[in-house]
Amino acid sequence: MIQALLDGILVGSVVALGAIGLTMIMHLLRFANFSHAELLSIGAYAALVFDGIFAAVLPASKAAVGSLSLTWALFLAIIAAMVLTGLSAIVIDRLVFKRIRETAGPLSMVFASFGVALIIRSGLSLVFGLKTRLYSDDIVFAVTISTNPQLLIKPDQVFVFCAAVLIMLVLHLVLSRTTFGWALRAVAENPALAQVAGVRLSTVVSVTWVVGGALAGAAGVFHALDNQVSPMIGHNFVLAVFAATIVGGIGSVYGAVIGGFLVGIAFGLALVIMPPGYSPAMPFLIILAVLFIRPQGIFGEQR
Amino acid sequence: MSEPSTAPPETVPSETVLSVDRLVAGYVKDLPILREVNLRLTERSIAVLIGPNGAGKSTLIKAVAGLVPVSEGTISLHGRDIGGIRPDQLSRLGVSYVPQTENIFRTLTVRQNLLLVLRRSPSSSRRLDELYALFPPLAEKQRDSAESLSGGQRQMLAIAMALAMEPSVILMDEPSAGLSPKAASEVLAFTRGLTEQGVSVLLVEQNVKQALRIADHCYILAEGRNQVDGPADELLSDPVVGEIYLGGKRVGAA
Repeated sequence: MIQALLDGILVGSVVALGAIGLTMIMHLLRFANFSHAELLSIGAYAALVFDGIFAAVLPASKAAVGSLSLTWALFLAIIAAMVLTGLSAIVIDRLVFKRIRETAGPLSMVFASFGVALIIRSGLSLVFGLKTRLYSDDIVFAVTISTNPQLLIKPDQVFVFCAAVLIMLVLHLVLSRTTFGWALRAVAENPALAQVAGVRLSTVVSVTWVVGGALAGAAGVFHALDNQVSPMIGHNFVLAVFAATIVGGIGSVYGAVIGGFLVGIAFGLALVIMPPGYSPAMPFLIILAVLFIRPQGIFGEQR
Repeated sequence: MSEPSTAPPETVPSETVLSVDRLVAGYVKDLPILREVNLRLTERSIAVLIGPNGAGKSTLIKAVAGLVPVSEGTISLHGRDIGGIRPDQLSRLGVSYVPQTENIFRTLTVRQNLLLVLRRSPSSSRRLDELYALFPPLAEKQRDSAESLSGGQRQMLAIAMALAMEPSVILMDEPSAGLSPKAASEVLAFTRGLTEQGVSVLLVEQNVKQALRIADHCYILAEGRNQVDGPADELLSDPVVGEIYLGGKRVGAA
């Protein structure tokens, strides 16, 4: 039970990182972006490529960080992957979504996002193959942190959790302490007034794509670090990320974080009470429950 | 005199801060709300826009603020055409807009609201102090969320945000709406005071009689067109205008 909770919190940190970008974009551009989770896949593969490059260019970086399976090369690769994923998010916007939102309605955007998701998934499969990959072939054994109850945790998992929390903390500081963060919040609350207050809308939209993409990229690497790199990461996470967004309330960054952890924990605990085959139904159940009890989500506002 | 050989160019063009000429604008293309509206706002003056609901008063000031697309006609600020300029650029050119509702950021604190507007200003802390001196209740509540302010204080914050960038023109959409009669009079009196600091104000008001008392000039719109305009004191005492637009026959006596 406690093991399931621990695993759930870990999954939750990945879902939360993915949901932050989705909730911001859904609120700002008023469309459900079904391609957002594919940014997790982009991040995971970008890190795989950058890891190879860094390890080849700087052989010294092949040393593992402490007792983690993570090498310094991969550590740098995570940062590079975040940057690349953030940039790819804005490129996708420029190529697809920006054009559609200038000429068509929100529903067209949703359908386009399905298309974008398919293109990314197929593109990654085409380039990297359908076979799953690992960042490291070394087997890292889980450390027993308690025998009664039996609790196992891998050092990598601790790293993932800490890194995810650190990233969220940095985002929190930016949103609450910098004028740029206030501008982001102002646009989220009232775009017309924000423009009158001197905020350039297109800049905020671009930055939101980059930040949301970078966080999703990190989420993808973090998930793959504990599992495998596969073109299906995005597909596997899309509903969880949506559920987290809806639980937290669309537009709320803090809601997305809490929603992410709740969804992750629900996933973990579901494995205890029902056969694993049913776990894909979890996000649907969560979405249904929220829509019945509090349709606007925890931090969302009624529209 | 009947032949205007010396064509319309105004005799005192230097005084005009904002002019709107034959403006056609609306939210949806081919569905104009404003149909060839003209307006002139002179330096250090208040022009009030009145008219029935749906006349296009708010649309007109939103079009000037850059929030409603202009399809024909011109809007010029100090002789420069500003039609089609983005709202965020306009705020830097000295045009501030105070919407009627939702005119502050509720999720930010009072201080954050002001600093957001001032974030590109090189002297933001000096300006912040000046604004607090102008509106002492805002200084007291600077760390509170803007949502916690009373109606009058919200209006104060909205006006402070508009003043922050030291604009030459302020567009105000019903600043007295939803306020107590006392607070409404205070807001209008404060607005009058702004002109002494060199600001020109284009005001939309439902509170017509009070607005006419503080305004210099008045434009009456209906169905997106100019109906009547003239000096505010003349319109206030004009019995015909009083009966049609100011609601009631005894306006002149009020």
